[in-house]
Formats: sequence, C-alpha cells, structure tokens
Amino acid sequence: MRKYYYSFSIISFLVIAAILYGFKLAGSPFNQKMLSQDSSRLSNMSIIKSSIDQYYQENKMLPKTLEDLVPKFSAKLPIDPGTQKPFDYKLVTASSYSLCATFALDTKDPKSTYYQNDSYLSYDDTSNKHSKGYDCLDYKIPSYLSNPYISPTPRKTESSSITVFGTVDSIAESDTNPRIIVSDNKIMKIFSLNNTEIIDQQGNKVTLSAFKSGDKVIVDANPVSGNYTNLSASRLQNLSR
Amino acid sequence: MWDVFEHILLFISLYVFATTFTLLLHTFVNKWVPPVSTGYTNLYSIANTYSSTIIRGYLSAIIVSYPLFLFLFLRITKNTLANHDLRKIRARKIMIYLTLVITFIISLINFISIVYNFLSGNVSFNFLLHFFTTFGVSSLIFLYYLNQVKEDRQIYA
Repeated sequence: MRKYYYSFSIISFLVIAAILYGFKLAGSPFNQKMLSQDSSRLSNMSIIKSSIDQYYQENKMLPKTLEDLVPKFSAKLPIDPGTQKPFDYKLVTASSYSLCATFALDTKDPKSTYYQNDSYLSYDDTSNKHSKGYDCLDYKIPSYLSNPYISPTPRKTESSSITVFGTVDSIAESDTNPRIIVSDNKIMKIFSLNNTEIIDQQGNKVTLSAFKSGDKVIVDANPVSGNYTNLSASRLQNLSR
Repeated sequence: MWDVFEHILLFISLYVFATTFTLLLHTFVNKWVPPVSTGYTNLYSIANTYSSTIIRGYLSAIIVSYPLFLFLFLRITKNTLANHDLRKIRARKIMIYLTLVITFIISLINFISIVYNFLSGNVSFNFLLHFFTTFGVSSLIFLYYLNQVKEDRQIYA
C-alpha cells in the first residue's frame, strides 16, 4: 500500500503543478472577475461609440455631453459595471473624443496575458488597450463619416506660391502680355505680369519701364495650372532702385 | 453491490481525469512549442489551438475528477489488498478489460498516426511531444491494469 501512496503523491504533485500552470495561462480565478468587468466596460464604451457615430452622422458634430445621446441615439446610457456610474466623456477635437473609466487590469503591458484580443477595434484602428486604474481611450469619428468627400487631387492653396530672388535678364513690354525674365542662379524664369503689383525699393508703385536689366528683384509668383515652368507673378519688387 | 458501484465510479472518474489531463498537457505543448501551420490537419488539430476558455474547462474537470479518482482508487486498492474476493467482482473485470482495450486503441491510433506522419514527412517536434503525451498517459494506464490482470491470475492460479 505504501508504494501507492508514494506514487500518488508524485502524480498529485504533477497534477497540482499542471493546474497552477493552467491558471497562469488561462488567468487565475481571482483575475477573472476583473477581466470580465473590463471586458464589459470596453463593450459598453463601444456601444456609446456607435451611438456617437450615429449622432455625428445626423448632426455633423460631436455631442457636448453623453446625455445628448438620450433618448434618440441611445435609449439608456451604458454605465461602468464596477462603479455603476456613467463614463467620463471628453471632447478632444472636432472629430475625436475620449471615454474614461477606472480599469481593473493593465492590457497595455505586452507581457500581460490578460485580454490580448482587440475585439472592439473601431473602424479607424482605435486601440482598446488600457492601463490599470483611471484611463481614457481615444476614439475618432470614422473617416467615412467625418470626411465623406475626399477630393482625388490636392487643392491649390496659398502654400503653392513661390518667391524668387534674382537679377533681371530681359523685359518684354507689351500691352497684352508683359513678361519679365529673371535669372535665378543661372536659371531663367519667365513671369507673366498680369495684375501684378509692381513696386520699387521703398514700396511705391512704379511701372515696368523703371526696371533695367541687371536689377535685383524679388518676385512672388503662383504656378499656372499646377506646373512650375509657367509662372504668374503677383508681386514684383525692384530691390536696386 | 456497493463495491460494483465504487468500481464503476472509479473508472468513470479515471476516464474523465485522464482525458482532460492529457488534453491540458496538449495545450501546454502548443504553448511551449507552437505548432507549425502546414495547412494540413492531423490527429491533434483539435488541440492545435489553445484558448483560455478551453483551458478553464479542462482545469475545472481535473479539479473535480482528480480528488474523486484519488479517493476511490486508494480506497478500492486498500480493500482489494485486504480482501482478495474483491478481485472476483464481475464489474471490476469488465472495467479493467474495457480500459485495456480503450487505452490499447488510443496507443494504436497514435502509433499509426506517427507512422503516417513520418511517411508523409510531417514529423515536427510539436507533433512528437503530442505523441508522447497521449502515448505516455494511455500506456501508463494500460500497463497498470495489465499488471492488475497478472496479479489476479497469480492469486487465482
């Protein structure tokens, strides 16, 4: 009988070790409650997020408070299962906000085995990773709601205008299409001078006849139809006279 | 009649415990040596993924069945050593031979699967560990009850 006791104490030791290791893999029973609370916190936040998305779609703005969602977009606001209080809601920008709650576990730490899945990931790749204690999750209005018409090419803005320092090479005075050719580091640039503000060193308005070749000039110009070889000067200042 | 009942409970708890313990060891094997996905399902594909839900199920089955098995096994062994008449119980003989057949079949399928995998060039370290887990547990049970059959024969020779 004694050999049975010996062998079964060894087997029992193995079984207990396996059970403890299993708890380490699957999460200990003491953590499971916190884990399920965090999980329902995240799912409640995701319910709020979808209500806010609906609100945004209808009103083209974020709600000021979560109470604005009741009753049209959410019959009843989901609450934090631990504290039984509503979540904190903070506006960040016009299209992003954060929801805050006190979490029981840390999922930001890559070493933690708790709750590694991202089942509540939103459309714009918002992560649901949170640290222990009070933490906020950032949410964005999905891009298909906040930006429904995305233009295929970038629009021409003021930033596309260029400024050129150079010396006057030649001037083509004409009534219909006056042009000035400016040499900028041996590179010739032709500017057409329609509706151009032409000024001298002091800023007084002058005409093109006051310009001589070899004068130092500064030209503000915009590319015509998007390319930088055909430039239309908006301002031409003579720095020599 | 009570002894018959005890024997049946013993073997049921043994089956539950041995099965879940082996499956738990399989999930540990997958944790330690992650399986290489070959796009081909083998005998252990059911144990090729581990999830905390499944592990929790195994753990609870072991926690319930192991103490029951331990208690019944030690009690029956003690009684059998004291009273040789218990070896004549029909239920005991049936359960022992049933267990021998089941563990033999499991070991046989294991050997067939490892030969099959060897022939198709799919023997990985993960697979070998799975093999030794199942084969180890089933052969331990097989050898113990084979020994019991021998003891029974010696006593009633």
